[in-house]
Amino acid sequence: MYQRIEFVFAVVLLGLIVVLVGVAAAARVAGAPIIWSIEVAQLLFAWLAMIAADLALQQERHIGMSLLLDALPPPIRRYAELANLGILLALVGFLLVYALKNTVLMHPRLIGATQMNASLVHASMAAGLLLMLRTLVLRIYRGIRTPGG
Amino acid sequence: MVILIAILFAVFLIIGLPVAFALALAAIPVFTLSGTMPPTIVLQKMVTATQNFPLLAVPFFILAGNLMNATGITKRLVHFAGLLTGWMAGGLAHVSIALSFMMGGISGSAVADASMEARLLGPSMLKEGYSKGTTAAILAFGSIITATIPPSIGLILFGFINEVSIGRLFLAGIVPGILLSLILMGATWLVAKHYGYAPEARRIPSAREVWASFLDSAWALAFPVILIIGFRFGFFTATEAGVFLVFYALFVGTVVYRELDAKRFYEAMCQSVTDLGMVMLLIMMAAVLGYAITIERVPQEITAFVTTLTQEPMAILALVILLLLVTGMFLEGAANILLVTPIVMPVLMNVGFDPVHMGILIVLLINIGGLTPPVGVIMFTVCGVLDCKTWAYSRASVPFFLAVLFFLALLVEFPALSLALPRAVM
Repeated sequence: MYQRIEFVFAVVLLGLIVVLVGVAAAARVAGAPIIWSIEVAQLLFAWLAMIAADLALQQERHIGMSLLLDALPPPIRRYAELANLGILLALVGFLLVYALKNTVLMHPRLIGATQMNASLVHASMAAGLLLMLRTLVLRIYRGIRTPGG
Repeated sequence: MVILIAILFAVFLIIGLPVAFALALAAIPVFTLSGTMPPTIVLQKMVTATQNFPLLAVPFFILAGNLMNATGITKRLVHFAGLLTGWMAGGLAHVSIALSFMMGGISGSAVADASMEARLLGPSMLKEGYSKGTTAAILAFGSIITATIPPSIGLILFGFINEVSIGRLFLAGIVPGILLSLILMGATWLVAKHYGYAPEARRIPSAREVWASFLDSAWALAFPVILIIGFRFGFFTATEAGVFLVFYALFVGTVVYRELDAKRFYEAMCQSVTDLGMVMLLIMMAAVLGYAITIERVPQEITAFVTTLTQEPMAILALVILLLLVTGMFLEGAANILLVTPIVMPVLMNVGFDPVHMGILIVLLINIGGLTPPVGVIMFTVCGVLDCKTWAYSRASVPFFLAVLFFLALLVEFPALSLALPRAVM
């Protein structure tokens, strides 16, 4: 359910970015460039990238080497995978703390032609990391609850 | 500190963490232990990586490829490739190579192409009596053609991280892509003769059949051609070309083929989002680690170190080729480009190699690394789908590996193969 909402959100962002860059390109060719359109597209892209990264995490699409994991017998493999998720959880938690600090830090800075607060862009990291934190907690919870799975 | 980064990265990779997270974990000590750089910089570098106009090309080309696939273009291309090459000895094998070449204009990723073809053509090749090893080897080696035909995601990433024109890289990849296809088809022909593999089609197709099928798939084949024309006349930058191709794919899907409905469109969007999530996290984390190693002056130190070893450009290039073949065995393509090329490019450019020429060579090398045991990503993908043993694949891939080495030698010896087209056009 949550995943579906997140997908809709990401798809809308992707669509908007396509339209914004498309419009900017068309306007430039037509000789009436729009300044803000690319800026907004890039702002949205930061958000899209983080939400997409979380969706990829939910679907276990982030690539890594499974050579060692494959060599382990299944019961031990399960614990190894849980331990790995634990490491990721610690990393994401650590980054989240600094992402929040950074968002506050960046707030007074005004960027680009639109003069928007830089925190608008930087908040995407905090939001994305928060989503990933939730995903990791869920995956660990499921991993503990389903024996052998 | 450098050694600490390298060890941490290796350890996190081996215990099975995703590459993107292993990159971040390896970079964090630089920010926490140094005391001079607050960890908030990590987040700022992640944001900066997304605020880059050339990089916006990545979502657009991923989306355009997925949309093209959803339009039913793939089956048309299979048909066309079958007509063109099916009548030769080892017909299906040639079909797979011709298909990789055509798909290169759409999918932009060797692993995606290899897994698609292994599912699509693998079973029929086995039925025709090809051994599992040969089938896997042909499909895997053919897929690396995708890496050089525009719009290749690998080339976009290379251009982004090394500040090389993506338009030039795209153009430079075309001739090597054609040459590699021909060389692989030559190798396939020899192998097919040796094992007595039959042609797939019993007769040479009529010109009319070929023409009809060409027209049917022309919309996909025009993809790279439109790019070249667009760059030549300065209609668009690489990023804008990406947007254009998205609209083009929508047009082909809804107006020409009429196979793209709302459901397929949404699925293609979702597929693109997860593809993008994987690539972007990798890019952001690689930007963080890239910043960390620059602070630690790693590229300069490596350049200095290599220069004390030898000043001979070809010897340096040979060293880099060896290094990339090795790292290519262990790391996936995108990670490799983002991580290794910023370190080796200064060394190469220092002795006078052209960045565009090197870009094509390096992106190919990294993909070749994916073909070789012990842990080639493309090899795993194909062998996984076909349920083929690694040793059977390894034995069967020897002739193709030799063919690719021959191709690499040509590419190194004659820079004009890659550079002539961008020089003539841009």
